[in-house]
Formats: sequence, C-alpha cells, structure tokens
Amino acid sequence: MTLSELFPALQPFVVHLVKVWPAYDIKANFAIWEVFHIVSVLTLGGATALVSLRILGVGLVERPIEETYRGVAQLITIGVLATSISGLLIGMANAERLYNSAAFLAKFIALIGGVVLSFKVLGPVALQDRRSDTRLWAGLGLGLWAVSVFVLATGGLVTPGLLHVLSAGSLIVLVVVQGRARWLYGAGCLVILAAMVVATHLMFKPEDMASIDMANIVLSGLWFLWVLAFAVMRGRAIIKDGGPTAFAQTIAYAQILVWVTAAAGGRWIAFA
Amino acid sequence: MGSLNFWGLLEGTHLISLMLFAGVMLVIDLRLMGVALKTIPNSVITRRLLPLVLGGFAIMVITGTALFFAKPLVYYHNIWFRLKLCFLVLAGLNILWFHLVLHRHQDQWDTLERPPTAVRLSGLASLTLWLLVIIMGRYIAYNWYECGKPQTAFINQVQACVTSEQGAVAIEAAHQ
Repeated sequence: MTLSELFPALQPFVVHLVKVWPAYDIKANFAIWEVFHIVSVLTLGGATALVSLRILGVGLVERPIEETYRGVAQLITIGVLATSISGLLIGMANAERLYNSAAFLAKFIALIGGVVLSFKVLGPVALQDRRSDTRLWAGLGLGLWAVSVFVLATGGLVTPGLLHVLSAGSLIVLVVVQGRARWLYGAGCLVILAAMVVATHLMFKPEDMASIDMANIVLSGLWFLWVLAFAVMRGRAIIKDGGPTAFAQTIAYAQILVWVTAAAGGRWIAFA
Repeated sequence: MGSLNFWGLLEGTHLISLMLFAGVMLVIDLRLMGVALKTIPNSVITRRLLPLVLGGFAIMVITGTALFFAKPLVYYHNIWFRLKLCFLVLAGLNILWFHLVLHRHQDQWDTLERPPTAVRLSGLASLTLWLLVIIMGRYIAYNWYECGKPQTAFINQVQACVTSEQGAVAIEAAHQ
C-alpha cells in the first residue's frame, strides 16, 4: 500500500512539490537536513525510552515516574516538533519517491501515532493523571501504530523492516524481565533466531523464496508470541507489586515501538 | 553478505541501537550540563542509565563492525569514516578525562542542579563529539569524495587514494 495507490489524484501536486520553496533549497542540502532529522529522532527516542522504561521498572527506578517524565518533558516536545518538521521538509524535497513508497506510508502513519502517544497519552500516564480522554487518545495512537505495522507487513519488499520492530520489542523485554526468567527468555530468543538462520540458509535453496518466506513468517510469529508471553508475565508481576497498570505498561511498550516503526520505515525507504 | 535483506537489517539495527545509545547518552550529557533531569543526582543517572548506554553501544559496535567488513576497502578510503574514527577516539578521551579527573570529586557536585564548569564542559564535549560521530556516519553513504573521482590533493592525501583500487585522480588533471 502506498500513497499513490490511496490518492492517485494527488500525483500532479506531488510531482510539482519539489519545485516549491523550501523543497528545492532543501534538496540542494539534503544531507544536512537528513542529519538534523536523525538527531531529532535520537532526542525523541532517548527521552521517550527513559520514561517508558521507567514505567516498566527499568532505568531511574529510585525516583518516581513523574520526576523522570518532568525531567525530559521538554526534550520530548522538542524532539516531536523537530522530527515532524524536519521529516516534512525532507519529505517535500523527495516527494515523488515517497509518494510511491510503502515504507514511507508506514513511517508517516507511525509518526502521527507517535505524536499522539507522546503528546496526549504518555504525560497523563506518567503523571497518573486520570483524564477521561486519555484512553480515547491512546486508542487512536495505538490504532495508528497498528495500521503502520500492517502497511509494513504487507508492503512486499519492505516487510523485512518489521523485524526491527520485533527485535526492538524483544530487547525491551530482555531488560524488563528479571532473574532466571531473563536467561530462559534470552535462550528462547536465540533458539528462534538460530532456527531462522538454519531455515533460510540451510534448509531451503536460495531460489525457493516461497518456502523461505513461509519459514520467516512462521518463526517471526513464534518469536512474537514468545516476546508477548514474557512481557505479559512480567507485567502481571509488576502489577502484583503495586506498580503501573496494564494500560500504562502497554503505552510504555507502544511509545518506544511506535518510534522504532517510524525509524524502520524511514530506513527501508532507501532499500526498497 | 549472505542474504537478500541482511544488509538492510544490519544497517537498520545499527541505526536503531544508535537511537538507544545516543538518545540515552544525550540525556546523561544534558544532566551533566545542568539542562535536563536537574532534580536527580548525577550518580543515580549514571548508575541506572549507563547499562542501557553500554547495551546500545555493544549492539552498535557489533553491527558497525559487520557493516565495515561488508565493504572494508570502501570505508578504509572514505574521509567520513576516517573522521568518524577520529571523533570516536576523542569521545573516548573525554570519557577518560571525566572518569579519571572529574568523577573523583563527584560527591562535591553530585546533587547540584548546575554542576561546575569543568563538568558542564565535559558534558558539552561528549554531546558534540557523539553528534559528530553520528553526522560522519551518515555522510559515509555520500560518494562526493570517492577515490578514483577527480579530487583535490588534500582529499586524495587524507583518504590515501593512491593505495586504493580506483587510485588517485587529481582535480587539475581532470580539468586539462
């Protein structure tokens, strides 16, 4: 699915966009703007990851969640604004290519979902502010993220980008899970990854793409279930100890992974 | 590299681990500079966040090394790659300076919202150097200064183009 398939009538507008200021100025200095975009994503990723991991019981655990959030709230705002503005500007300079890219559509939807979660949900969750509209905004943000994952999963050549989201999720759970469960969890992930390598490199011939694809899908599904099972198990333990609710934990995972989805989509624009 | 998508996955993972490493490092540096998380002591920040930074750094080094071995000669003769390594060394020296000199007196400035000038300078240097490492890393993909293309004597010298497969082409020779 691409923007050109969804909105074919926009083609002349998109083609013309590169001739509009500031697109032609940005195109001439594309590398600098791209670096600015990456640094904005880093700022945003770092700040939201700190708050989200704190909700999940990792990082600055000696301090209340509210204090961590308040300490980086300005960085989150700066990160969201800089990422969105720089993303739109470099997008303008490269509009025709992005218009035909499934990876860009996934990134764009994830970006909007990420903005919703960062601005309207993470704050109230971290501050334990029980506003009535927080769950509505959360539903919108999570829904947009789900759509972006769907676009990436059905985007043909860009589908492998989804593995970044899965591997990032598995790494978050690796730091969140504690004690012996962490070793069991890590070992399970390694076994699934080894099975992927064996299936795609040894079991089937390189030209047998249908079988390789099927093996990747089945094993990725298994990996996802493994990650989910340990996330739920640890989540229940956190709630039992009087920690954040299941809703808050879901937002914490989604808040990190939505930006990883946006970053993965962005990177795969160049690959497919 | 073994499979169709392996390069993309490796490079993407390198970038996302950078998000964890540099993103958290940025927050630590901003705390040292007295800009973010001012109410939390520096010792708590470093003790709790350093494992995350090191984890991100480890993945980044593993994926970065694998990427290097995919095209070692291209990177070896790339000015941005060489600059990236220089800034990495400088960032390492700044860490050494911090731990050997500034960290010794941490109990005196640990809880201060605005740490002493030397500490804030170290934070600023760290922030600047890691940003430069990232910028140089991104610029590696651009082939403006590729060996074999007409380049100035300085670029040919810095990249050791004479020893590259494409050789050194002087810009003056290309104009004749």
